[in-house]
Amino acid sequence: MNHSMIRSIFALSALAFSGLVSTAFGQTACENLKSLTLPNVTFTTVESVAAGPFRPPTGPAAVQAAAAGAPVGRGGAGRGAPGGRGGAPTLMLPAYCRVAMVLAPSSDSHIEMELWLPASDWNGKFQAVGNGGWAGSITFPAMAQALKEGYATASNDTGHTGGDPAFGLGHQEKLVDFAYRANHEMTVQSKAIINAFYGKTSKLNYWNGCSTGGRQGLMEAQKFPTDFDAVIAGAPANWQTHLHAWDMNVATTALKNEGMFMTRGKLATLNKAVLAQCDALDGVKDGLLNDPRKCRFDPGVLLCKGADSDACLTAEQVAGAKLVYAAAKKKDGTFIFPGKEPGSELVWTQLNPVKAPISLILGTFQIATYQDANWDWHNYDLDRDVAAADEKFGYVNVPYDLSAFKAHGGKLLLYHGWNDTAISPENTINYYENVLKKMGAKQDNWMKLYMVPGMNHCQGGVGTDQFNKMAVMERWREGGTAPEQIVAAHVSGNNIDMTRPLCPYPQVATYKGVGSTNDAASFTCKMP
Amino acid sequence: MKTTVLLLLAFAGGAYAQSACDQLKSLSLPDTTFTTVTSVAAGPYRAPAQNADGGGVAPGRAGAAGRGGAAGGRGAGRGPQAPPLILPAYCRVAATLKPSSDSDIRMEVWMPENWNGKIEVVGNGGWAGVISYGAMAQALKEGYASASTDTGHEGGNGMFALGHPEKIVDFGYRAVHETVVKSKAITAAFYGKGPKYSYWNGCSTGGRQALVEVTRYPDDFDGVVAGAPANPHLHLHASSVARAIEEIHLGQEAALTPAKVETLHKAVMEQCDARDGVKDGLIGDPHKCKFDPSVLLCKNGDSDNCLTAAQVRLVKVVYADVKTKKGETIWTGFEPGGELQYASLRNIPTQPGGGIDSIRILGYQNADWDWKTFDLDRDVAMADEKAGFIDAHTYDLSPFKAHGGKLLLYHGWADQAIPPGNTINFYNGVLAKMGSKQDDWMKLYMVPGMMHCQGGEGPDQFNKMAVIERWRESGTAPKEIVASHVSGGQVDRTRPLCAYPQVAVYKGTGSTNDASSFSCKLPS
Repeated sequence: MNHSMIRSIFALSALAFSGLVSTAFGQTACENLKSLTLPNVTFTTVESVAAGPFRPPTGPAAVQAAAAGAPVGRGGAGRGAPGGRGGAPTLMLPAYCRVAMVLAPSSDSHIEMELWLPASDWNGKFQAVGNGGWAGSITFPAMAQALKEGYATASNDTGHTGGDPAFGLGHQEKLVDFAYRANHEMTVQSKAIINAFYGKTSKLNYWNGCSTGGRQGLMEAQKFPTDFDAVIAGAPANWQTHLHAWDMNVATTALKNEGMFMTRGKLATLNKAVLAQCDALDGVKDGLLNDPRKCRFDPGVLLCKGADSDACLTAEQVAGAKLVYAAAKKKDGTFIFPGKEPGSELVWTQLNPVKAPISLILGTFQIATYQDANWDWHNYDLDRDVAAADEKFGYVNVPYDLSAFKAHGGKLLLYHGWNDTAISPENTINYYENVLKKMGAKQDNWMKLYMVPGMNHCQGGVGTDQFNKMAVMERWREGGTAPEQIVAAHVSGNNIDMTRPLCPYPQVATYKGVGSTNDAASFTCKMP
Repeated sequence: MKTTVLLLLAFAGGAYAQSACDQLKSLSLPDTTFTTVTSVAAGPYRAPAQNADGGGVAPGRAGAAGRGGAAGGRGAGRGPQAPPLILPAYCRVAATLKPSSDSDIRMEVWMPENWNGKIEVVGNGGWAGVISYGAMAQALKEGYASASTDTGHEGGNGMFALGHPEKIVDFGYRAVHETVVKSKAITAAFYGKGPKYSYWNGCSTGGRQALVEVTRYPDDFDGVVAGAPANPHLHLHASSVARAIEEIHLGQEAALTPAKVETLHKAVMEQCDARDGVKDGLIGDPHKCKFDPSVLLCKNGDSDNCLTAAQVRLVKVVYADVKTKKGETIWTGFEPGGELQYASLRNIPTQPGGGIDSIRILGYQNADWDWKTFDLDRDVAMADEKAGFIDAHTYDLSPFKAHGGKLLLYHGWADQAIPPGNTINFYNGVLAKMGSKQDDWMKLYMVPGMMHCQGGEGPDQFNKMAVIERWRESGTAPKEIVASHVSGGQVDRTRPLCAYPQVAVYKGTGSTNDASSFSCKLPS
């Protein structure tokens, strides 16, 4: 931090304070944030927003966000921003100071970010929220949720517009922004502006993200361990090179053998057979598998005996199903990435009839690895291409050593839905266990993992997906109360029809034998 | 004999005893005519059509759940986007009961495969007149045999009672009791054994039915969930007539615009919201909120930011208890905090609403009786004399207690249909009668910000059946009950509900949207 910057921060702090004393809090200080000088930062909009219903900001970034298909529905912060599931009444937001800006930490960088500062009743804390997929838009709905609860909150588009990975073609610096730099820069600048606006630093800094937001949370904890005091990382899209290598392996195999494609009706048949065999393994027949790894299901039992119909699978489809359940491995048996879990079949997309792999997974190879828009997926070779991706783009993956984050006093809450078909849930178990391997078996005073039976990607599904991650994390970090079981709810329409405890891995929710199986109190967390 | 044969059939059949269902047709029960006995395959729930001339209540909104009637607000009804319930296969029995020559009681009992060994009877809303299919489906899905009745008439008003004293008896208590007796017998015949536990789950009129059952037939149920009880029904309706007439006298100029209602609500919240430690749009104990609407009296001309003198008077009428000249409370007033939902703040009626039937039909048996002659003291006494048997008027619930029964009462503090203070009075009445320590079998949960039976700003979602089962079957009495508020398919707030008179108090740290940041304490 250079001297002129320190001076301007001080000057602004004074302004903020005088605003506090003399006039309605915030107003003056907000507009004056424009004159703050921060390295590589250009302010585009600095304005006071009156209390009222949440409407995503309009302007370039917002338009782009809409074009990118809105992040949160696909699991930005996973806490249920509006728009996620339809029919939500509009959030009522408090008055806030809205700061929109562009960050350019490299000459090729153009990171759009926003920071929203509650004008009054600030809870003294900062909550940064993550992205989904290849990002490319600011996660306004998750910011609105955080703002409503009193946080200063920030999000950024990670340095490009829209969810297409083509942005990375010829733009290595933008790939670095996506991988880790944009969020770190955002966090640094947010803290400086918070300090200037309120005249004091945020007393605690939280990360809350799911999917790519989960990977971003792990990346922050590992690479910038003092950025956050606590990190919520849902369904991390971590080990992205391997995640997409698995996806490419399944996609190209099925595309070369279209007989593997399945109708929704066949997937329903498959799911029904899985449940018939495995649902009761955990003591309760409820459509949920507590630990799908215990379910040794052979799709061969569904092989059509007579004519093909939705009630059975052809030999090719049996092979397709096995492919989706299976881990990807190199020819020498080296593990690449885990497969999908039994029980998740209803939300499989892998065997849908398509013409080519989607750009989301293709981009890791075509763009980030080979920098060749004409790279042909027909030539995909798992062994060769995953090695190349690791070499060229491996910096997007998060290593296992989190000791600096732990030393900082950080807490890490991991969660993953067992029915996640976008990101295989065992990948998060593997990450968790690799951290234990690296740092020692007893780490539950700062890191916990919750596997959520029946939950899809970040949220949704037949399982109990609704729980207050931020409240859990705050109680842990601030109140010193480590989470044990977390009661989660399943909502149908606008009614809760099931509650269950989520259990810290490797424990599972076990039925006590009496009481409603739709009520959390009828279960305890136990080692399997 | 016949039952034994059925028992064998039920078990011999293996998976699901379709033949046992068919066999019920030959079951003979007093005063009972089976109209439908049929096996229904597993699949999405579709409400059976109510009777064709069913009083104009469409099956979709019938059972009460939507109107807060039937089963304790546990399901159906609210989100239009709710996917259909997937029900197990069940044996559906529809019957007509004639305990008196003028009776015509429709009832149904649904018995699932994989029975949990229990029966859940669900209640009605308003004047009843329809079977609560939606709530039955919820119960069935959870493994209960489930029953409901239309209470012996069709349609949602009191006209059925004109010239039909026996139908008033049916509506008051007989239809429910008969349904319970017959349902248990049919269940025993079908499964080869009767239910090991019997539960009642109802809200609104279903709450009144609960209290009537508990006092009149204390052995019918092992556990009773009574939400927002409309008891005494005649007093509730008399008070609504009295309040409406007061409002009519104030004139149309007393009505508040929606903006004025917001002004009022905001002023109430500013004064009372933070009392419980959290500014969150919920008043933990509205009885502690002594709000005087006069503070909003317009000083410099009328505007949306103030109330005229007439409007102040209206607000006072809405909040006020309805009392006789002697000062006896007929029903309590609406509570501060729920203003946004109190229709009578916005609309001055031109005549009293549906409650008038309790006076003119159940009481005077005269459809032409002129409501302008209404006299609260006289007409409450008259209605009680003529039809008071429909209500629970005793606070002595000792036979139910002796039976081992558990009673779970709940009521939303922001109830816009049945002011909740009456339920506290009932609870306190029982304690006064039976002694102050009754929490080993009876508890009351007041729900901040909850409207009638469900809905509203407050966390209204909690599993009443799980609570009462745990209490009755495992001996675990409820303490705090974590409830959730759902918005757009997402839980956005959880909060403990506290056993009255405790209230949820913020611990001072942690998210105010998370139940763990609160504890139940006696109010300071």
